[in-house]
Amino acid sequence: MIPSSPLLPDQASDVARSVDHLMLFALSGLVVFSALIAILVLVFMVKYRRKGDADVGIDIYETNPKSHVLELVWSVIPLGLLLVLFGWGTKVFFDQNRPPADAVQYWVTGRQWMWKIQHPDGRREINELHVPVGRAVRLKMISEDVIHDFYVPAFRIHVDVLPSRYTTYWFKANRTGTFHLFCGQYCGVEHSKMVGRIVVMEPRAYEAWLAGEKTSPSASAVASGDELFITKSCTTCHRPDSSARAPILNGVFGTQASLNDGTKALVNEDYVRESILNPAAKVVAGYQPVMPTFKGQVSEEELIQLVEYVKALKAASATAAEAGK
Amino acid sequence: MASDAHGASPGSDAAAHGAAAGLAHHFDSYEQQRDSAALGIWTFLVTEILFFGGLFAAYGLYRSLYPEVFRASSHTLSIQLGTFNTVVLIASSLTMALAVRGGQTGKGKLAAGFLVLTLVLGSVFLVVKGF
Amino acid sequence: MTATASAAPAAATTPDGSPRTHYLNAAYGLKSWLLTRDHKRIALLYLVSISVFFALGGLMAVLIRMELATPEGDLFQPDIYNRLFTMHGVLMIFFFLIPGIPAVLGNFLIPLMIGARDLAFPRINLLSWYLYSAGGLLTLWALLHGGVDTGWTFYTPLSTNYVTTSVLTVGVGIFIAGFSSILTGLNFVVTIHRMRAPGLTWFRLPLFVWGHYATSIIQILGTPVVAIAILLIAAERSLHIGVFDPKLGGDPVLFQHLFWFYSHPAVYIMILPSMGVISELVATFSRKPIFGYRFVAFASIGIAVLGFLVWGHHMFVAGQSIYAGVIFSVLSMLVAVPSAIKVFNWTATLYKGSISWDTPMLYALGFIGLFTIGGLTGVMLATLGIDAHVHDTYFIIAHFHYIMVGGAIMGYLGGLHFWWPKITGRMYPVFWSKLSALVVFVGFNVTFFPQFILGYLGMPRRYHSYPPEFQVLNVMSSAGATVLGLGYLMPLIYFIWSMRYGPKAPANPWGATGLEWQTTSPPPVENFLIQPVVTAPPYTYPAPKRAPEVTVGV
Repeated sequence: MIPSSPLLPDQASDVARSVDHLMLFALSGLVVFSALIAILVLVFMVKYRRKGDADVGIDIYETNPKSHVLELVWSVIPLGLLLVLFGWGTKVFFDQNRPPADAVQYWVTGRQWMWKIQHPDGRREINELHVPVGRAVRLKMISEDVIHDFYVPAFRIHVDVLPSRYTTYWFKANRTGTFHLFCGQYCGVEHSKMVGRIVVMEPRAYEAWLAGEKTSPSASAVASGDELFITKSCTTCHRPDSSARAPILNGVFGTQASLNDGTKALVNEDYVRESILNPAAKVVAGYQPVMPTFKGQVSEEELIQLVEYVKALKAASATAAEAGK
Repeated sequence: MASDAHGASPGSDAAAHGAAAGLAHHFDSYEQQRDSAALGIWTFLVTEILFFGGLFAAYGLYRSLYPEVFRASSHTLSIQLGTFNTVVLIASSLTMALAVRGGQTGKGKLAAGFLVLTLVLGSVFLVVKGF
Repeated sequence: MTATASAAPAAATTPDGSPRTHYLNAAYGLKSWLLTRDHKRIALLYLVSISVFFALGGLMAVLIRMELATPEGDLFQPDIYNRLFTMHGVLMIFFFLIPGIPAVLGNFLIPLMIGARDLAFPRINLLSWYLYSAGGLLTLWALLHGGVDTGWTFYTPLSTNYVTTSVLTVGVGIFIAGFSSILTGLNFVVTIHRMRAPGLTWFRLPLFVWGHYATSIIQILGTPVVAIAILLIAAERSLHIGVFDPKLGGDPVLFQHLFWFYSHPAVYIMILPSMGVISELVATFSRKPIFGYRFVAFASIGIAVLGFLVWGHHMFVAGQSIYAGVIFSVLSMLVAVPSAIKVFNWTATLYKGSISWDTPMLYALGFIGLFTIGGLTGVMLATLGIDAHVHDTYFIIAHFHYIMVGGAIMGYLGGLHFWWPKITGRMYPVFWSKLSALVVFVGFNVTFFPQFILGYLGMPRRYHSYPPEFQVLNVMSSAGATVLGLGYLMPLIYFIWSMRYGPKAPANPWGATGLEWQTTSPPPVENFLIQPVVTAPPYTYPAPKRAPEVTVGV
């Protein structure tokens, strides 16, 4: 069960620990300055309480040449501390947003009011994600409707889930346990019910879970994507042999594409998704904008599978080139 | 200085009328009144710049992202209605300027008439836009 | 009775010294109020209207806290709960806090403080109130038809494509009220530039005026942008132009940029006037000038300018580039500095002051403490690494309520208690006023402090039901809310009571400086019987206690 905690949520990753350290620093600053102001106010209130009707205060600002120095001091010192806080916060933020190279990619589709999670091997979960402890997990997320937000307090990160493009969430759990998953962006009537669990398990327990899953793992995303590539007739134009009608997709993922307006674009997940839904937005140089749009004909999940398929074509180019020689 | 015991608008008391015609009661001089009015209008224009600026920014953004869409849809507009509306717009500027002139020369009824005409032309503009 | 004020004091005052004719009894009847051009009467019209909206918004808060006392959503359907928190936000922000101090205290006092007979454009001032009322009535009408359930932030595409509530009506209501705000700002800017009394240079202005000047700049420059954002939502909902709809090539995050470009400066609209009040209170009740007057004046302008550059700190995790996040984070740190300067300067003013513990001062001192905490938690939120965790949790809610309620509303109440004798010519019962200040302070902290903890623990905002481990802190918060509500009820009662039964107030009951205290309580229609001339810097103590009957200057 999810344990309750008096002041801190579970700390389930190294990033979470660094956020807590940062928070402690900021909190100390807050306590020190608030206490300072509160104490000064209370002391002055009592010490300089009005003595009589004719009593007036003494203006020290004009008479004391050190006043300007004081102003400068209490502007510069807070500014310095704030910049330290800023720098530290930026470093933590970069850690929160930059998955390591060895992170395993999962897919998350959010929709009112549930989370659909897809493992790399095709296994699907609803509102739950089982992972082995110590695995760096990268979640590529998209929404089917409104803006949601993937929030796991134990990992100390929110990332909004948008309907227009993929966003990335990553974590590496350093202890086992079950942790809250919340939707962190108001998304309609059942927003408070769009919750779930992240279940981090010991490797043996994870294997057992994999083996014991009642639903057989469906085909991997790549295999489903391969099937879709054929059933949606992508093969009509996108053929691995030389064909003038459409760019060859083998090995194209991760490269820079030269577009017909002279600019370049990185072929990443968003690029592939956009090319399927809105092909005319970016047309590769030398080709005509004849690709039809598949908007309304593929769901977000199918798009994820097609993206994974195109990604996997990278490896095939080497072997295909060798076979062709 | 008389303090007004009747009527809600202190500007209508006799002393002000006798002192200076056309000078609102809360101003000390014509110069102050004119300067305030000028500053007021300029400030208002600044707010209008930001109002339409936001709109133009959104327009500019989407136009640069989808130029072919804008080109295509521009062909669906009617040149006749557009020209007519332009004439209406410029005419309403004329009636507005004439209204201001009427106000400056003390012809209140004329000024009001031109203001109404400006409103009418503005409504015509909006209605035509609907088509 | 028609009275002609003359140089002889006897005819102008009643036996107990208060003025015979003043702006309240100069004319009677509904028309004299609804068609008034007197800035003082318009201020009172606003006082009544915003109090109504505050009461409504407060009622929603009570219902929200009642629901949140238990983890399950058992009091209201989620649909109803979503409308409650949305309308709470909309009413409190657009119809209470943003007009708030400028519309009531600013309208009443700015001409008095600068020695003018009225604002530059009295009819536009009245128009502002009518626009505000029209927008408010439209929103109330929408409320009666179910209100809106998008959150006061109206994020797309939820608000444009996925809800069936009266988004359009409320949007139009806010749009109209926005013009009220723009016109008030415009009026203040022109008034402060052009209508100061002879001898009243910029650096002799009370800091209340500086605060309102800075606020007016924001109102003028920022409000039009939210007007456009609302227009675009309306166009999207009714015409499906696609500007925010990803299925039509639009970008939902664009709305967030347009919305927060106004709504961040808007929070400075809500706090700067309150800071202006605090400066007046601290100076008066310490009987000395504010430490570092020019620094405080420039800090107001600095906050207004920098406030326009930080909107992206609401969008650190919204899909904004992390590099944009870095820029917004450092700018947000910068905007904290002028606020810090003000807090230090107010505290330094107390040193060697002559401090009286009158009710307005109690509110001011409470403000200093609570604003410090609220502001420092704001700095935490400007810190990227922390915000990524507490974004859209109860930490955010606690932060902005510390500023808005612990800050802005305490300043508003302090100001009302300070200038009440000037506005109404009556004093309120001192014991009850001090007690209510204490009740408000305690109730406020018990309500909102636990929410910081709840937020860090991970409780998201806008949640109708929550995991059971969050219950204890929620119950604490709801208990505090009851006390806070009581604390707000008390002034309502004794202020109304004082208007009939309170002892009559002299011209300058607090011994304060400032031109408004050099005229009678309540002031005459024309504000001053004789044009004041200013020859001294502000906050020069001791100040004369009685209104001059025949004087040539201050």
